[in-house]
Amino acid sequence: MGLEARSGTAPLLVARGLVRRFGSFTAVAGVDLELAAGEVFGLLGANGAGKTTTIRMLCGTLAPTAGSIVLDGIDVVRRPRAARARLGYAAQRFSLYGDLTVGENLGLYAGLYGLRGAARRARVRWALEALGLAPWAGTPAARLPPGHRRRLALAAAVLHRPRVLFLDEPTSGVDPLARQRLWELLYRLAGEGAAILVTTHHMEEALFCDRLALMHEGRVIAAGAPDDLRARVPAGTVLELEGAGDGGVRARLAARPEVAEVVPRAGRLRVRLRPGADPAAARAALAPLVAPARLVPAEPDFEDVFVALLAARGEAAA
Amino acid sequence: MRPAAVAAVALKEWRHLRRDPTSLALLFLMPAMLLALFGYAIRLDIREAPLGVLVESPDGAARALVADFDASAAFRVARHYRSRAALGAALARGEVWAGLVVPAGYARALVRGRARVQLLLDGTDANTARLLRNYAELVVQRHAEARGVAPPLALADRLWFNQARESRYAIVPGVITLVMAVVGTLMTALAITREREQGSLALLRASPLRRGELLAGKLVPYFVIGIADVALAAAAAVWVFDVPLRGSPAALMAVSALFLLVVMLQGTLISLQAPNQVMASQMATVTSFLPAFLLSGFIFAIENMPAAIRALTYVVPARYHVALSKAIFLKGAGPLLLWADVVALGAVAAAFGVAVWRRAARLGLLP
Repeated sequence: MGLEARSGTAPLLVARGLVRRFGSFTAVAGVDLELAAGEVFGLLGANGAGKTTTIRMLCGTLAPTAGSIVLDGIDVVRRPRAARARLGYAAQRFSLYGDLTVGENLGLYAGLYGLRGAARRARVRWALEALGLAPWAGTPAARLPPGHRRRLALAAAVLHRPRVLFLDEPTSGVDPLARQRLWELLYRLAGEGAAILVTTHHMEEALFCDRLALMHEGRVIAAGAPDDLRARVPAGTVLELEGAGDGGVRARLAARPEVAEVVPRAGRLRVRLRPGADPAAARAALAPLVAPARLVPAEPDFEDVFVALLAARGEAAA
Repeated sequence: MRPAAVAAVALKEWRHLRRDPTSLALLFLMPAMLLALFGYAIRLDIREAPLGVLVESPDGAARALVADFDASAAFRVARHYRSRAALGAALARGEVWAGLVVPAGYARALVRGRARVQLLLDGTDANTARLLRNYAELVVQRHAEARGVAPPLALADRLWFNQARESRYAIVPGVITLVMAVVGTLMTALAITREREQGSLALLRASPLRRGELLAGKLVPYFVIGIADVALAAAAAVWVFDVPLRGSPAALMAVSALFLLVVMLQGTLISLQAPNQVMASQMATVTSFLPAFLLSGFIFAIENMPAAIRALTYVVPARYHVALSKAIFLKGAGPLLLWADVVALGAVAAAFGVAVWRRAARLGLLP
């Protein structure tokens, strides 16, 4: 399944059979995860798929209804105090104090981890430098641009050199350039030996992760390296319309039995074939409908992966 | 508890305060306002009330009585009238608060020991009327004694602890209680609600911060401010309002520190309970100001309350501090003399402490 940590070393985080129910609603319905040192692991899924609930259980702020979590050899549920010193967490929403400056926020978190005096100053200085926040040290957090605010949240999360870092939607609300820089930072931290778990609902961002788990309705429906996951989409079942089609082309395509759906993507129409349809035959059958434009096979992205996997599940259920 | 974590939280709270001018102003202007309001504006005694006079047969004896009224602290002779009708009209218009009628033949009656004068009062303000009547009685009695006339009833009057008969003496020590109850509860009531509303609690949960560290770190700066407020209010009582502090300042600060702890824990409990900041500040105002104002013996004597309400006052922590503050200021009592009130305050503090500790478990921080 590709759920095991990729390297031979002992995994830093092992979660088994995680379940969380809120009343009669099951937010997470049995999740298994393993993370190795130096790995960036992505939890991908739509809003409401159970990503945040999973991450909250992993960092010990939400008790699981069932299941076990071992982080760096420590049982997170039984020994939260020891676990918290070894993990860092940045929430989806900016949760530091807007009226405190960047330096004061970091000083506070250093204090919360029990650092004082020279050690505390040294760690704050390190975090400011490492995340490029030194010029902003005296700025109230509320006045930072969104990208810098994310970096501050990250700085506060890594201040105590955690072994495992949990980042809930670290790049939401951030412009593309700042997003790029954040990912560079994550790679650097991973390079220094941390295990990093990020959640995201940006499908294209998933490509940046070493390994991925796709979540849907509280379950991991697939996991593995990005390329492995994309290989799960049968070759040729995702097509793209090349050239201009007339206004009625979308409706004409969607009406065909071999077509599952037609969605606009980056100015082009993307056609997903129904599972089990023969790609070559389908292309031949659809060609006259779109002429003079052409339908060509497209590189599947994670949305296609999701759709294909969910469709396959639907078939299995039916 | 790790000192570094407590200090980090305390410093953060202090910075929030320093950068929020509204709350800082609230913490220092509110006490000043309450002191000014209750120290100056609300008076339970009367000075220089305007008195209308009708002397039906002017002679030396009548003039002497009127002069004694004028000389008293409670009255000043505003005007002389020629008829009862004119005096009555002046009273109705509110030009004078009371009318003194010295009837014809007053001097002769005085010699025979059967002199009577009449006092007309405006009964629409019963409280003022009653006070004026008491003052007038006193003036007449003293006048009679001075002239060697035996009054029908000799009332020997000696007031303990407040010889100056200043209502301010009784009020200002209680204002200190009111200030502390309001400021202490209000400032802590927002402490945790704010964290929850801003989402910062979610982040604190993932840190090794413990419940006790968060509570201690939050209470320390507010406690320091509360103590500063008490000291300022006590200083104002002594130097601005001339209320004598007959007991020891250390005793006053000690019992006030205990009371401050009670009201801060009360505020923290509200903060843990309230769904949002607006609700929290409303709950704080209602549960601190009203009982401290109405049920503490601050203005309304507990002894005069109906039994059911009187029983209710025992759960109002402010009542114990009002008693202690008044006793230390005016009677010069030490806390040992008033051990029952101190023990009661300590018991309330312990009860609130346990409630806060239990309720705070739900914050999801480390124990």
